[in-house]
Formats: sequence, structure tokens, C-alpha cells
Amino acid sequence: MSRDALLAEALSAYLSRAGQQVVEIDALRRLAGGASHETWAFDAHCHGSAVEPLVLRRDFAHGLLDEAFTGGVAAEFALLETLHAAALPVPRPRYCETDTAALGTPFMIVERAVGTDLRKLLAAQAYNASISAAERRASGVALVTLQARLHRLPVPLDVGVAHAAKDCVQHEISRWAGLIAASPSTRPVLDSAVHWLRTHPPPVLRLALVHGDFKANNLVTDAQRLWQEKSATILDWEMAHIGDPIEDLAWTLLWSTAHDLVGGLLDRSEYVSAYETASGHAVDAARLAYWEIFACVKLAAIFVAGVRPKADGLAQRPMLVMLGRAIAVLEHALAGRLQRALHTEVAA
Amino acid sequence: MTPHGLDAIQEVSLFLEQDILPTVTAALRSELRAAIKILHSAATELNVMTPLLQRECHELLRLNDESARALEADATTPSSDALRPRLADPALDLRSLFALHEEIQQVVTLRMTALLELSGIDAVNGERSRALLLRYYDVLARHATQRLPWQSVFTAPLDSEVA
Repeated sequence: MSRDALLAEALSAYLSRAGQQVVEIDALRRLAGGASHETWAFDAHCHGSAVEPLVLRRDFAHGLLDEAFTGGVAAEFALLETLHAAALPVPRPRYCETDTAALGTPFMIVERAVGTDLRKLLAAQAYNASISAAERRASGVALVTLQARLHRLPVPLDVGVAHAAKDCVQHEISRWAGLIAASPSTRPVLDSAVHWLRTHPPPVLRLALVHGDFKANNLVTDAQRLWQEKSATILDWEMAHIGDPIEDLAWTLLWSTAHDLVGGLLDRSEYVSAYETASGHAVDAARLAYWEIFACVKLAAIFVAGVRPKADGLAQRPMLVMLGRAIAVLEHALAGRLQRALHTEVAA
Repeated sequence: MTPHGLDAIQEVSLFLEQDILPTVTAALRSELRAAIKILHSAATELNVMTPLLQRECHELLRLNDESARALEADATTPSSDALRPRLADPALDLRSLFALHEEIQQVVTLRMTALLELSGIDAVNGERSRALLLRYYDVLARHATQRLPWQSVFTAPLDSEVA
């Protein structure tokens, strides 16, 4: 029996034990991407009810960020329950299992969001040919409004470790700096950037739930829905935490191509301006610059973690090696941003 | 004719792309595509790596020496004097050169940390430290620029995409 057939059988057995009368698991396929989790789409055919489109998300034997770092699927599942109850557009959480007996690793099952990810939508020629500049901008504003709405949710939520405002910046830096420090290779620009971040923390004026990975391929939508209040379903909450909402903006700004929210629907200044309008809070340029340096360090830390030597002799996944070779792009950007920060210090 | 290493990498890469890629599952396809891209960029990189690393090592050693002379207040960073003769060794192979480059980077990291700490101490040390830091960032940005074509994740430098 193939690996996929074995997984389908195990899923069917699990769902039956969980109270579903599953007849058949159909259209099981592994989805591309996912550095810390394996993600599988499938349809569950049940007695007396319609087909359920579902997604399995399970811990990965040699994932990029381990459970100790992300909190694991159980923490993400608990957060999804809270957000779903708050009517935020997230995949409806269905089942979570921390026991490894059923599928070999902890996992969760959520409803499959309808549509396609924003990155694919913006890359599609048909979509780009059909949308006017005004429609493009309105779609972008709707997504920014959704991001601002997320930041308005009451805190502290039960997500990760709650930190006081003065500690949350240092805590977040330490998490990612730890991954860089654990690397066997030395990277002067990254180390220098971490030192600068530690010694120049900005005041956190308000605490919010920070998604931590709010970018086009984590937003599932379609051309019609993109206008509406719940313009997209927000996926992939494994890096969510309580922190400065400006951190989330800087991460979104890091992804600025024609296939991203910034660069594809709005330009940089439109994005910041739309957020200010939607949130009712001004975005301070110096704080944003700080968090943009942080965003580069965080992404570099993710890439560095992906190419750390494996203790168990397993082969490196080529995808992670490819990401690791892109650290130079982040070092290049950081060197320029740190130079600008030094000039700003002198001018001040 | 025996194919040399760089040709061999290109041939293997072409075989994977033409004969193997169409036969693998969707789950493995993205990994195999990544592997093929890595082989392409590695062949380009290896073609120029030895002189590039040599140049970078010399440049960083010069800057380290200059920093040591200009800023006596930094007594913590070790000297890189012992590293220079190893760089001149004609028997130095590429793997040893990578290791030496790494050792020089370690000294640079210590130096830059010291400069960041000194930059806030007083006016004289602060000004010198900032000036040296700017030069380190400039040199390291240039070194990073050399590596931009060997990656395929970003289509352009980040700041140009933001603009």
C-alpha cells in the first residue's frame, strides 16, 4: 500500500473514532510549501451528509521550526478556536490530536478555505487583465482593513507567553536571534543587526495579536470576495504572538513584488496610509524602520534554521537549501538599512 | 574528453530536469525543481569562488587592521595577524579557504560588536566607531551583492522591490 493510501486509511479511522461516519477519504494530496508542517488537502465522504473539504496539518519530522519554537499544532488550534469564535475569517478548526498514535505525529484538521491564495491570484494573467486600478486598490484596502481588524482584537489572548509591553520586543528578538546564534557559520551583518535591535528597542504603544506571517500566500480569496469585509481567509498562525502591530506591517512590507499585497494591490505608501485609516493609529516611520530591520533578521533566522546541520544524518531538503542561499539578499538589505540607521542617529 | 566538475554538474542538472522531473510526484516536484536550481547556481558560484573569497578575505583583514589602529579603545577583539599567512599559502584548497573566510568573519563580528558598543560612549570614540561601522557595512553589502545571482528566491534586491 502506498504512503498516501496508508495516510487516507489512518485519517478515515481517526475521523470514525472522532464520531464521523466516514465512508471514504478522497482527493488526498500534499500541498506545496509549509516549512514546519506537512499540509494535506482531502475530501471526507460521510454517511448522510455532504462531502467535507478538509485540510490536515501535521508536525513535520524534520521541519524548519520545531514544536518548542512554535508551540505546536495544539497552540495553533486553540488560537484558531478563539479567532473563529471572534468571527475572524480563519479556517474553522475541527479536530486536534497531540497523541502520536493516529498519524505518527501531532496534527490538526481544519475546514478547507474556498478560493486560491492571493499570490497565485495576482500571478494569474486573467485576473490582472480583468481588474481596474481602482478595483485593485479597493481590494488592497479591504485586506489592510482585515489586518487592522485583527490588531483590534482584545489582548491578551491565550497565545504563546504573554509579555509586558516593555518585554515583548526583547522576547521576540531573542527567539529569532537564538536560531542565528545556533548556526555553525558566522554572519557579521546578522549579528550586528541583532545587537542593534537589542540596543534600540522602540516603545510599544499598543499591544496586539500579531499574525507573524501576514502575506499573500497565507491569504485565501477569490476575485469577487476580495472586495468584501471578510475579504480573505487568513491561514498559517504558527508564528502568531502578542506584540507590536507595527511588526506585522513590516513583515507584510518585506514581501513587495507584483504578486504581493504590497506591490501587487497597493504601493508602500498606500499600504501604510490604508492601515492608518483602518486602524485609527498613525504609523511612526522610525518604529516601522526598526521593525523592517527586525523582519529581515527574522526571515534570515528562518533561512539559517533551515540549513542547520542535521544531527540524525537526514538529507537537507533542497527547498531549504535554496532558501538558505538567499540569506545574502537579506544581508545586503540589512547592511543598507543599518547604514541608514547610523546616519539617522548622527543626525539626531 | 573527460567532463570536468562544472560540466558534470550541468549535465546532471539537465538530466534531472529533462528525464526525472516529469516522472516524480507533485510533492517531490517542488523539491526537485529547487535541487536543479541549486545545481545551476552552484556551478556558477564554484567557477568564481576561489578568487572571490581571496579578495574578500584580504579586504576584511585590511579593514580589521585599520580598525585596530584607529580605535585603541577596542581591546577585546583579537588580532587577525595570524590569519594572513594562511591566506598566502599556495596549497590552500577551496574548502580550507571557506574555513579561513569563516574565521575572518568571526573576528569581523567581534570587531563590529565592539564598534557598536563604543559608538555610544563618547564623542571621539563614537564618531570613529560609526565611521568604521559604515565602512564594514559597505564592504559586507558589496560581498552580499556578489552572491545575489546565486539565489533564486528573490527576483531583485529587497530595497529595490520596496521602492
